[in-house]
Amino acid sequence: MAAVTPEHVDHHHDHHGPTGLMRWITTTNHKDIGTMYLIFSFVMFLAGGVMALTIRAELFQPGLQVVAPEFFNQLTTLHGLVMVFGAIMPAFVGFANWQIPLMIGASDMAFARMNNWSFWLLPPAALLLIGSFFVPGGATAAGWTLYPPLSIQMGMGMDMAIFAVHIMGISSIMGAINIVVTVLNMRAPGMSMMKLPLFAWTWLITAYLLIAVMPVLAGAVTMLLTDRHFGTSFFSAVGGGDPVLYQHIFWFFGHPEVYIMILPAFGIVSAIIPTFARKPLFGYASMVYATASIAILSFMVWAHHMFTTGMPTTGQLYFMYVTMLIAVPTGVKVFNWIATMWRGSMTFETPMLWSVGFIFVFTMGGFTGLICAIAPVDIQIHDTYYIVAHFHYVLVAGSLFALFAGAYYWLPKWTGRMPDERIGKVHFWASLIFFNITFFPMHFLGLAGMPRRVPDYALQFADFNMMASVGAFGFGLSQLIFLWVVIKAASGGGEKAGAKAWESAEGLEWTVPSPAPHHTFEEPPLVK
Amino acid sequence: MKDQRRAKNIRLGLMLAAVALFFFFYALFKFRVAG
Repeated sequence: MAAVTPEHVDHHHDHHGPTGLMRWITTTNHKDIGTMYLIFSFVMFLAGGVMALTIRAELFQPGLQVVAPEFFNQLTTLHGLVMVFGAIMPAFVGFANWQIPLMIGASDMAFARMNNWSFWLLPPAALLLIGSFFVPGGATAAGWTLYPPLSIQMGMGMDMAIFAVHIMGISSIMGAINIVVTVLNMRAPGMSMMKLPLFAWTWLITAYLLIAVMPVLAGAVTMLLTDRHFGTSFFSAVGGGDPVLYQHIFWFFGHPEVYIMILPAFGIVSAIIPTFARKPLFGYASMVYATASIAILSFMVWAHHMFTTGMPTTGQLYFMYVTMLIAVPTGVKVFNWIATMWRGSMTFETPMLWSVGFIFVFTMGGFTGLICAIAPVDIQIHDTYYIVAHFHYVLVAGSLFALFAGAYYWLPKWTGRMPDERIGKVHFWASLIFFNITFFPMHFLGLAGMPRRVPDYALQFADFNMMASVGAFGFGLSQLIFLWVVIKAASGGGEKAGAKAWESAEGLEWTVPSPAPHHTFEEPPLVK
Repeated sequence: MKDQRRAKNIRLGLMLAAVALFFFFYALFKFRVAG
């Protein structure tokens, strides 16, 4: 793809309008909003991380040492909610805000004012979630899935979580509408759909998923709210309702949600690997079709989270086989990344390390996903640490590693400075090693029968838990290295980045100066 | 500067918002209040 940027276009470096705090509160600029999303998500990542480390401190050895059991349950719940809705999802929206207009040659998002609102809904939601620790009864302790009957019985912390989910849902839906309209209507002349960078494609499909399933979650938690306060009995067996109904509705949202958190990661990795393999992406069209296939299949597999609820055998067989089917398009993607690297002139700068690490470790999470999909096996490992290991391989080694890959890759475009290679590599290797020390032993714990969401455990699980806790603290501390890299680049330290910061990078975002000026592509480029 | 694509954007945005609202109300009203 070649782009012709009009010569006479004046890239305005300067920002006009309010300054100081009001600039950030009133901004409609996609780059400013993207930056705010990224900062917000990193703060929430640290908050969720502190909760995770408290959990791991408690689990360092058997017995109760650090926190009370009921507070432990609040921590596991809020850790999940904060990481999913506060850290991973907003981080990807931050990437979308920064990159999609730059990648498609648009001057901004389609609905710039709504974009501002989408972001500013998030801090109040985060305050509701974190603030719920301090109300009578504490935060919700029903698990991030908020299953009844526990979620019907809890105190006002539960209501705060429900409202937080509502608000974050509205924010996500508005963000998703913005992305769909931007990608469909705001592309530069000549950029056909099959010339779209894969990151824009994966986000387009993710946005459709968000529009379809976030309202379903909102419906589910609204029914919880009416069960709690308005005398309905959707999920209360006492009034003739059915708690399992909640699980069906929740997982109709919950499984596509998994792909909402991983498809944009696929897009990031698909942008990085061709750059450092110095070859075009292998099988572009098949990548697009695989992404769409994964999205469609994600609506058909929800009850594989519920094999133990007493499902008919035919239902178990259906959900088992259709879940396994997802391995096919996912395998297409992994094959294409490897084929892109095959005989490429590869170099391993920090973004590439994260991407290759992503392929290795995410694929392990994918394989354990296949194991979990087998109904008779799942009945054994349901609600054990095997599940905890599986989804952390997908969400940490998958989503988070890809987010770091993308952050190192586009940091030059955001800050105008190259990331510190040496420190970035230390961050990668420390994260990779500590990640595996933390989560690999959890497979063994789960297979041996250790249940999840417990503050205490039998003596036989002590060694692997101790190992996991040591790894967790190492992993947590390693993330401060990233903070250092970002602060250094943002404060003007390190090597200056050119417009095309990476030698073989392709795409419109590399045609504008680094750091990207406040206004870009006010006159759209012509894509050939 | 008036963007020529504005009307098209708003139309598509409203359609997507309608889809989201449909899913929300469908989830809410699909199931009967027991009791």
